[in-house]
Amino acid sequence: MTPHRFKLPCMSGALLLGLALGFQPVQAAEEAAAPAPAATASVDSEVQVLKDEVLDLNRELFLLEEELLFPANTQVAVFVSMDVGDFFDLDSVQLRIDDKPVSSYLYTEREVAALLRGGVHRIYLGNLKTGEHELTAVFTGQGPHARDYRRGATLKVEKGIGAKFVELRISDRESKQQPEFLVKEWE
Amino acid sequence: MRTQLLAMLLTAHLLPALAVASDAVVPGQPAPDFVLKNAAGENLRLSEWRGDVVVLAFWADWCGRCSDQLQELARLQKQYGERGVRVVTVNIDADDRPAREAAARSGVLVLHDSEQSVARQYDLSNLPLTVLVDPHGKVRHVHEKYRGSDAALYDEELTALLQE
Repeated sequence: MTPHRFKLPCMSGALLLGLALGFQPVQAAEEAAAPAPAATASVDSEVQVLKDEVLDLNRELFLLEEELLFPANTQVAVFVSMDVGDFFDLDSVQLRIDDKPVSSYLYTEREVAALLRGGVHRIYLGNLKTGEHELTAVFTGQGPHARDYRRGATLKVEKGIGAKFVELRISDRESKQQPEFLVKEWE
Repeated sequence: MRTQLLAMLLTAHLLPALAVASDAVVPGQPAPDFVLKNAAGENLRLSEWRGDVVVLAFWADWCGRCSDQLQELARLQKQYGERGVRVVTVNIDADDRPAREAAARSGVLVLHDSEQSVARQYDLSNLPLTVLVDPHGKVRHVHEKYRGSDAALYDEELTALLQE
């Protein structure tokens, strides 16, 4: 929690700086009578500095929001990854936790290509209380020989103190010429 | 004095944001992103067309004005397609037959929103609803219903967007 106490005053200062942007046109209008090139350049650089600070503020607010909405002790994040993918053309993933649907995602061709290049997609970020939970993922798409394919995978997870990360991995099982769906926890 | 100034600034900056928060589709705001299937069963996402001007039109089979507009949208796709305009129509019927037929007949891209989840995202209350999205993904123009005279307006707005 200590970082939050430090961040908030910083952000207030940055917020003021950001709000001060709203004054720029007024100031500029007052000085419009005799704008010197040097003064204009100075204002430009100041505006640039303020823009950078607003971007920093935005990033800090995003991190703070995530920490407040999903505190580490209850946080659960679920990721989807793919390896090879010759036997499965991914269409969608539905995720249920304790038999409640929590996320459903349709993948575009471009997103599947990104997964095949090694990308990882965060399909769910939420909170769970400590204890045992059941996580079920249902994968739909086309399997070998372009047949419609629907397969589920389940994992019982023990949520303790600290964030829990789970990976839904789609890979090929060469020996069976079939796709394989794994649900595993990240250590 | 400083506190009053801060309060005034906060009010001035926050009130407009609060005022538009209830409206899903507001010119100048990012168009709500979505993914839907086309007639071929491919998943297509609005944000993947960043860089193009998107004409997004919601329609239903039972809506008489919508069929008139579909012809006009086909013209727009033909006329402006090579210049970076993408016409995307969203059919909201529960059955996918009208979407498949329209895709085959009109030549425009037809997505199917059978659960009307995207229609809700866009606060759909009148049909057809047409939203012009700029290359940065922001809503620029919103039109409800359709009259023949709207064709000239679409031309004017698309031309202006392509010249930016």
